[in-house]
Amino acid sequence: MRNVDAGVNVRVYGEYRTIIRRGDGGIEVGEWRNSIHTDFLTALKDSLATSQDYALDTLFAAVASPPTDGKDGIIVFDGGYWHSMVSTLDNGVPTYSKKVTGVITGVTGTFEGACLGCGYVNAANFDVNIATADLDNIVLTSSDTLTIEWTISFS
Amino acid sequence: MLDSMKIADSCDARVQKSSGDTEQITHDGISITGRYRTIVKRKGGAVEVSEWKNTISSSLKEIVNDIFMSATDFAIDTLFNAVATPPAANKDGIIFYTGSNWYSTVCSITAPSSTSTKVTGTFTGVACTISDIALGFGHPGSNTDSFDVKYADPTSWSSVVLGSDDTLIVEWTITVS
Repeated sequence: MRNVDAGVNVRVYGEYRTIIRRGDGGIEVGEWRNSIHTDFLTALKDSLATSQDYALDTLFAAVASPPTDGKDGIIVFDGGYWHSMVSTLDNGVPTYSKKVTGVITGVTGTFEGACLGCGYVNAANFDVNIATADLDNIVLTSSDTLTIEWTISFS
Repeated sequence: MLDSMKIADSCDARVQKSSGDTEQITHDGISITGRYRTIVKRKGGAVEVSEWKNTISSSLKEIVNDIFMSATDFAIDTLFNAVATPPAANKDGIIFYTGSNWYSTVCSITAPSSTSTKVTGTFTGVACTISDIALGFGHPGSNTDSFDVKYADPTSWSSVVLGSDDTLIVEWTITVS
């Protein structure tokens, strides 16, 4: 007897919104789907058999390059260096989701990538890389502010 | 318990490219799925095998939703080690229902692949009809199928009639992929 076509699953996915506030008052918003990193898949699988800790509870508190080791949150890449964003964590929308918000300002550069993770190590690597994003070569001057609202949902 | 849901169509899918990091990126989303196999070993030597998909519990979704907020333990690592009713308190694994009583099974856990975890529950010595099963973390120790975190229920279940010399084995595999 075999009945493997039915069943209900849990799906984990992510998306992010970029909000650029220009020094002259202009605002540009984009919304994109992310890539969930293999690290997170492995960590989630390991959680079923052994207790794991990959909570985002030691968040980046400042814009810095390189980012501070051991901290959690969002980092962005300017083609040469990674920068931490001031990061916060909230319950997201819909109900089964979490939103990490990162803010960077006062930095000049063209930003082409972002990563969300737990426990920064070095060179874009976290202890657990959760998700990555391909930014659209966002050009910032020192008077601009880039906000990334990154939502991971469980449905 | 909800069906899986796709990302809003208004969001453009973008493929990750190298941005200074070198690790492989392979998923735009991941799923937690499960299935179980029942193996009945009859006294006379006959073996009956069935395979089914399960329904992942909303309580597993709830606990996974909280993993970013604080360190969260829902690991199936304190396993039931006896056939007993009610199941022992604060233990994890597979329980069977006879229509009136919930029994723990003798459980073990393995990792059959890099993305899956298999919990095996073995039940014998009781003449009964098994009408339901459940997999979870942290049983309260009473005659119930509640867990601190229930992982999954059968999507459907066909009752299994057992004699006291028969053995029912359930191999429950949860996959994260």
